[in-house]
Amino acid sequence: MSKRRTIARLGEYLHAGYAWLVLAMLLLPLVALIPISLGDSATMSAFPDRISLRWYREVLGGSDWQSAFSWSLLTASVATVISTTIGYLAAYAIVHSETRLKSMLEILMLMPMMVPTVIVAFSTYMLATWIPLDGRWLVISIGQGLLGLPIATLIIAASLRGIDPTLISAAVSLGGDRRQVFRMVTLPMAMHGILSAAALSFLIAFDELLIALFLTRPGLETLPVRIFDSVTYELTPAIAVVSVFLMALICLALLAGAVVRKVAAISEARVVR
Amino acid sequence: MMQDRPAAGHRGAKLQGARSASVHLEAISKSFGATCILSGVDLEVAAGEFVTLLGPSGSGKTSTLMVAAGFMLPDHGRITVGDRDVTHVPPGRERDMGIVFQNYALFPHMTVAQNVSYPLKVRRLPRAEVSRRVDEALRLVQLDMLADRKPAKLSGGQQQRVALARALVFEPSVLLMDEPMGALDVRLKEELQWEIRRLQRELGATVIYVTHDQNEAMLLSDRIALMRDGRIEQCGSPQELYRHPKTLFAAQFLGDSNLLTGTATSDGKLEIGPGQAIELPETAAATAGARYAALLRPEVLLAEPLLPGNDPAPGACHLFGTVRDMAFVGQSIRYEIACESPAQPILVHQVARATHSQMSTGQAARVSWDTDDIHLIPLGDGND
Repeated sequence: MSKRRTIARLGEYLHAGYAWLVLAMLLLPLVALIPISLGDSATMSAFPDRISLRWYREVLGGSDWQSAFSWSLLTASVATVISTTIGYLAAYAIVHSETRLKSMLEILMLMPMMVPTVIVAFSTYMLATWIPLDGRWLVISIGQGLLGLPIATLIIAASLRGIDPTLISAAVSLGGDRRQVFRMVTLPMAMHGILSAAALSFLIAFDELLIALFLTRPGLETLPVRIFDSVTYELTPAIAVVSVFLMALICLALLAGAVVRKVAAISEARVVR
Repeated sequence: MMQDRPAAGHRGAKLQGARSASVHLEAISKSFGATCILSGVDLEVAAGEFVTLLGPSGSGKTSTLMVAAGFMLPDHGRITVGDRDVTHVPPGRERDMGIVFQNYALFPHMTVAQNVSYPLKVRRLPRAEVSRRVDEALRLVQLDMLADRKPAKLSGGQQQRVALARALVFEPSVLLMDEPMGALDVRLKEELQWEIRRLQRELGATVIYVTHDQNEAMLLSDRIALMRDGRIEQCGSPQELYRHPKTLFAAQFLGDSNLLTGTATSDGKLEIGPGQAIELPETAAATAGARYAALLRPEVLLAEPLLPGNDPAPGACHLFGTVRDMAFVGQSIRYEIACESPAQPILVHQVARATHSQMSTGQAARVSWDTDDIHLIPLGDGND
């Protein structure tokens, strides 16, 4: 009896150990960046001789990393707006339209996911030749928005499908016009999906290298391009600093999300009581 | 009965049915491809009247409601509310109908109060007025304590009340309800039925209600429109429908029934078997030689054990048979008594008094009735 229990407990420990191992393998390479970023020399080392914030000063104070970050923020934000709005419209058409072209539309919306990114990058590059140099960043946004479009469409379509059509009938019969029904019923109910779609398209766009690489020029460099260049030509701990900085941002965002959810749950519970 | 709607902008201090209007469906028909789902529905509902569309599934009652609500466009026919032709007015503010859906269709992301305030907010009423009328509507359905809850945290009955309050709060000219009790348990159903009845009478609202539950229909309605195969079989008060059904279908759909079919004779009797005739009420006015079904409800019959000293009373208003089955169901004892004719056993529902001697299976019995309780239904013309 007690022997069996020991074996069972051993199994539990093994299970937990395995989970921790996998987690460590996923996280270690990222965590390793932290000591590298704290190095003092111009070369990267996992065990720097001297701890210093030299590269943090260099990166956060240097104008080229800052401008790369701003460009990325700008292109990714505009790309998010593009893929979320077009994605919503497409999803609405896919869910609610009764035309036979619906299946065609569905395939069309998934196209950017199936076509190799290089080809999307090349076609946006061709598009850019028609556009004045000042508008290049917008072309990058369009290309990146295109990449996020399929996933945005799929997520929003799923959340629209989840809305009971009788709710819309009720909203209409109770006197709401199209805009009011959209604003007060459809949008809030699809909001979860729309926000997820926006977050994912932002990440896709922020992370995107190829399109930006095709369209880069002096004074227009997104963060991934800057990192790529830096790895190719410089290979200093600055890259580690940028990585740590981005990881910190993401951790903060996740934490903020968790706090918001917790607060919402608590206030809900209070109302019920 | 038709009431004028008060001028827009002016609204009474209390929720009331002052705006309730009459509804008239004229010769409504609708088909999908080759299948005809409504074939000439005619229904007139007076202002402040509660009319129920009753019928088996597939009889077109929900379709009729959807046509009235504007969610389904009829192929032919006209719908008027008061004196407005609304046939082609889409559902919404202008059509001005409150609808309670079968699944309540409450907005899950809004609280109870927000759900109820929705119809007022989309009409851009002043905030003070919105909150006053929402409070009033919630008090009316006794939900003012739960105003801040989300629908998911409410019981089925409470959700149903929210849906009702939401459909009433903007004082629509008509209230349409599509099987609103479908998902509730029996006890709750009964409680809510009385409440809906009270509310409707209090507010004087015009209501068109759909159900397949005949007890619900009888309890709630001023009139019942019994539907079958896409048209109205018979429309009348619950009493009229129950006591004087015009067709066999109506007789059999509402309540239990015994139907004795036969040919009318010239001396005012109905020959229901060889050498067996029952007396008809004087008011029946049956045509000699024509075929009729005599309707006898189980509760108007009296079943007694057939004892030697128990002579058949004069007048042909009884049958003899043997008890085939009996069951005690609380408010009555139900007997199935097999007679020579009719072929189907006679159903008797007898109030179980203490003095009543219960019969057992196989016992010889006499079933008798008062001739005035017979209702005659003419047969023929495909009416069976």
